[in-house]
This record gives sequence, structure tokens and C-alpha cells, in this order.
Amino acid sequence: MHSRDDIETTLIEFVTQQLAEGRLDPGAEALGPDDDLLGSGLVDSLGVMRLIRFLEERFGVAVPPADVTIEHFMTVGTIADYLGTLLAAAGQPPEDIDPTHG
Amino acid sequence: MTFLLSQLVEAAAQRDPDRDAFRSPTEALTYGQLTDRANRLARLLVDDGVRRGDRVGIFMPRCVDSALAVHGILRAGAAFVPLDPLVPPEALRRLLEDCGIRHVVTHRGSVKTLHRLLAEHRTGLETVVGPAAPPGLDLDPGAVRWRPWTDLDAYDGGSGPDVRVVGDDPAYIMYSSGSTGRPKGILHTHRSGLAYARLSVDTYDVNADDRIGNHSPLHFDMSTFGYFSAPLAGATTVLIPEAYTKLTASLSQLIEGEGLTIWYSVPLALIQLLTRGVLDQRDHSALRWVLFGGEPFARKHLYALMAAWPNARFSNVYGPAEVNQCTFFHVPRPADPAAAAEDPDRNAGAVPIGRIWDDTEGRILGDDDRPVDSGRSGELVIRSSTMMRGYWDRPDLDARAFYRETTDGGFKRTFYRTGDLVQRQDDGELMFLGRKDRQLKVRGYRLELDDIERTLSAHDAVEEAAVFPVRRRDDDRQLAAAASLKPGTTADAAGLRAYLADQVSSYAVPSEIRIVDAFPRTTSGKIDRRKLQEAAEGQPEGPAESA
Repeated sequence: MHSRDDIETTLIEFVTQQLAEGRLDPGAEALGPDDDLLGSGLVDSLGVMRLIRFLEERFGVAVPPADVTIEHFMTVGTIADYLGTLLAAAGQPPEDIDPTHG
Repeated sequence: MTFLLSQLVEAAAQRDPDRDAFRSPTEALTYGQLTDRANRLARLLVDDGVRRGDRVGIFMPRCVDSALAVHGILRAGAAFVPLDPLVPPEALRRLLEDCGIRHVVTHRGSVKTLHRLLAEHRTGLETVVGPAAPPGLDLDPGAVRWRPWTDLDAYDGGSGPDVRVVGDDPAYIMYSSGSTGRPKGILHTHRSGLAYARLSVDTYDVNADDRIGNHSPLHFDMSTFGYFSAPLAGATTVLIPEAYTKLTASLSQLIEGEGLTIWYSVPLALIQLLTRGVLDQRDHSALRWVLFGGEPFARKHLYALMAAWPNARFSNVYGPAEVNQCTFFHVPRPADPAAAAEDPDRNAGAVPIGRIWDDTEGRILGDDDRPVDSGRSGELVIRSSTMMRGYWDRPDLDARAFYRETTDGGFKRTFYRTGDLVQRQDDGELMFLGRKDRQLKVRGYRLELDDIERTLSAHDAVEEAAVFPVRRRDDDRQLAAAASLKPGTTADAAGLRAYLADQVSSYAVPSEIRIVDAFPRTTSGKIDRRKLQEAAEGQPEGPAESA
């Protein structure tokens, strides 16, 4: 029952509440899955490290350094796609995990 | 002869118009194209009222258009002022006001922020050049004139406007500590900027075949290497997009894909490349110079990088933005760098900042402003052709920063007080010991801790506050703060962070704020910041609160 949408929701929550604190303009629209996280300055380089640690702890995956690329980390949507491939490779499709109670 | 920064691009275009001047993985401008576009931008700015000596803001991330803005503004006879695209609106407004900026060049990535600023604040802005005005722009009609890039088509790119500029005219103003309080703008002239370009091109033998990785933001003085030294040599500057600076595997790919030959950044970027750049899977053999500066770089990381990049020479670069750069130290390569990286006896101690440049005079002064005895530490004061003209509209700061003396015959000499404590080693190399005051560099940004502290202390609920550095993994230095609350008030760390984020630049917001009942004190009753720092370093990382 936990789909890619749930993963996106979890990621948006984490980025909004943990990483972008004080940087999201109150007047701006809510963060969307296709918004540029990095070029905009929303997430800094330490934020990227915290994000990776969050993925590893919450979803039980390992993110190898070689995978920390623009293709994977530019938006919440690309992170969700990337996470999907990691989970599938671990024999754990996204539907089987509960992203809200990791 | 090239006498002015505004001549650099055109001179390079005459030698090789088809060579890339500035590029990124997605865009490029050749020297010929850049000359044409910069001439058009200069004509447009002059048409819109820009006059010799005016300040024109550049509000955009690192991209090819930023190079167009730099060289177009200079060609118009004006000085460019880099505006940090991440700065909060209130700080940006103060900066525009302080500098009397009436014209700004912007970019699609920043236009929304600028729009919001203009909708909410009164500024002196008259013209914005950049993408078309955002839809729904609701401003006082006629208050700000939007000039889309397409307007450049109407101007002649064959030559620039007829403007007289001399070497002593302002070329750029960099705000070093616009984070809090009244911003502080460092004003460089065409002459001081060009002197730096000449010295750096000579020191690192930069030539037209070089491909220089520009990692630093435009508002950070390291960027002058990519924006000025490269055109002087007719070389290509690769402006590394913001996202690449955060995703190390992509950055490592970019170094290979763009065939970078010269790298220049703060140590943190190199440490990240070393630990997360999967260097063993990349071909970085084109790299011949690795320049680093802004903060001390641990030898263990340096030697490990030497092992990974066997073709590169490494140079430690030192200099406050006020003099751009004034010393360098080419780090000798150990016979076995990998072994040296692991050997505590050999990787102990800091890397020297080296020797001062030709055309630079340096002295080490004690508290009495007399030269210290050989081998003793003191403040470095220097005098050079790369020195700033002064702080923008701040005679009070000039009076403190400059040290003047009169020679035989009544000639005046002006030295700049770096505020940095240094010591000359027996071998003649200078060692950097620390800041004389409590100025600090965190991730390459210069911060005035006392200013941030003052701002935090100004919060309604705060009784006292302290701001101090904390050393974390990878030798990364972060900013931390502690605050005690007035009785009967409530505030939490998140609230204080949000408050600070409104007041200061993002890099000046402490990554951790702790609420404390009371501060540790020194015997004289002052807040003991060293104890705070030690306590914070003994605790796990992350925003924390304790009751």
C-alpha cells in the first residue's frame, strides 16, 4: 500500500522540515517533486549528506558514493526513482516497505 | 597593450575568437561571441543611464550569463557588484541601498526572488536586465524598467560604447561580510584586478590551452581567477553549476568530461572529492595545477590527493579579499604521497602559506606596530599592486584597515593590515596562525562572529548568546550557537534559527543552536566560548535543544 507517492511525500517532508529550514520563502509555493533542490540553494552540500544518511537509515539501503549524481539527486522525483531501483535491487520493491515507520 | 579589465575579453577574441571563453556542461560562449554580447550589454546599460563609476549588481548563480554580465558592465565603464543569490531579501535590500545600485543584471534562476523583493520593498532599482518579466508582475508602473535579454538584439555588438575608463576607476566591489549589520564592500580597481590576473597567470603559467574549473561563487574573491586570469591568458573557464558542487560523483565526472587542467577551490571541495569522488574510477590526468585557499588544508588530505592525482602540482594560496591574493606555497610532493598521508609524523602541522608575491611588500608587526623579531608571530601587513582601493563609503573602516607611513622625501606608503597572525619559519616560509580578532572562515565564507552574536542577542527572548566554530568530520568547520533565555520567555532552537535566517546570509546561520540555562564563564566573567566549543564537539551532530 506504500507507493512511490508515499516515498515522495516522505522525502518532501524531510527536505522541507529538516533541510530547507529557514530557506523556503513563506510566500513561495510548497516544494514539489520536480523542483530543483540543488541549483536553487534549497539544499546545501551538508544537506545532501544528511539526505543520504536519511535514505540509508529510513529505507535500509546503501548509497554508494558513485551514485551521488545529478541524475539521482536533482529533485525529489529523481531521488524516488533512484530509491526504487535500489529497493528493487535489494529484492524489496517500494510497496513492501513502510516509509513512515522506518 | 591591455591596461584595463574591460579589455581582456576583446584582446583574447582578437587572438582566437572561436575558443570557448566561458562554458558549463550545458552552455558556452566563445571569446568572439562574448565580445559581441558584452558590447551590446554595455551599450544597453549606457542607454539606460549607467555612467562611469556607477555600481551595477549581478544577481544570479554561477552560469555563463554571469561572465557576460561581468564583462558587459566593465565595458560600460561601471563597477560590477556580485549579489549572493541566496541572501535573504532584507540583507539584499540593505546591500543595494548601501552601494547605491540602480541597475541589476539577473538570470532565470534568480528572477523570482528579485521580483518578490521588488514587490515587498522599496529599492532604488531603476532597471533590471535579464529574462522577460515574470507573469503577474505587479509593480508600480514605470518604477522599474524590465529589459529582457532580447533587447540586446537592437544594439551594435561590433564595438562598445564610447566611455573613458582609467586603471584607477572602480571595477568591482565584493561584499565580504554583508551577513549582518552594515555591509562592507571591498572596492577593487581595474589596476588592482589586472595586477592580480598578471601575477596569477605568471605564477601558474596559465596558457590558452588551459581549462580552469571555477568552483567559487562570483561574490567570493577566488572567482577572479576564472573571470579575469583566464581571459588574460585566453584560456577557457568552466563555470561549475551549483548542483555539481554538492553532488561529488557528478563533480568528479565533470573534471574528467571537461578535461580540467587547473582547479581552484576551498579545501572542503577537495576533501569531498577525495572521500566521495570515486577518484580511482575517473581520469583526471589533465589536471596540472590544484590551487586551494580560504582555509587551512590538512596535510593528510593533501598527500592523499597527491597520490590520486600524480600529474598535478599543488599550491596553497593565501590572501584576504582586500588584496585578493598575496602569498603562495607550492607544496613539495613527497616521494610516496600515499605513505605520507598515513604517517602521523609527516602529516602533522599546517601547510605554510609560503612567500609573498613579487610586487608585494610584507611586514610582520607586533602590537606596538613595530616589526617583530625574527621567528616571532605578529600581524601581517602588506602593500601591493593587487591591493583594494578601500571599502566602499566606509572611511571609518579604511582608517582601521590601512597602515600608513612616510618615507624620506615625504612620500606616503599605504599598507593593508590583514588582521592575520603569521610567523616566519627558519626556511623563510610564512605560517598562518589565526585571526587577530574573532573573524572566522567557515566553508570559505568569512564570518564576523561578533556580528552574528549581536544579531542573535537582539532576539526578544534571548538573554545572552554566543557563536563559535565547531569542528566536525572531514575537518569541516561549522558554526554553532548557544543562547540563554530571559526569564518568563519561551523560544526554541528552530525559532531562533528561523529568526537568524531572516537577518543574515544562509552560511552565517549556525547549524546548531542550543538553549542553555547558563554559560560557562572565564575567571574574568566573560562567556567561555572555548568551553562551549569543546562541549559541542563532544556531542552528536545536529540541531539540539536542552532544557
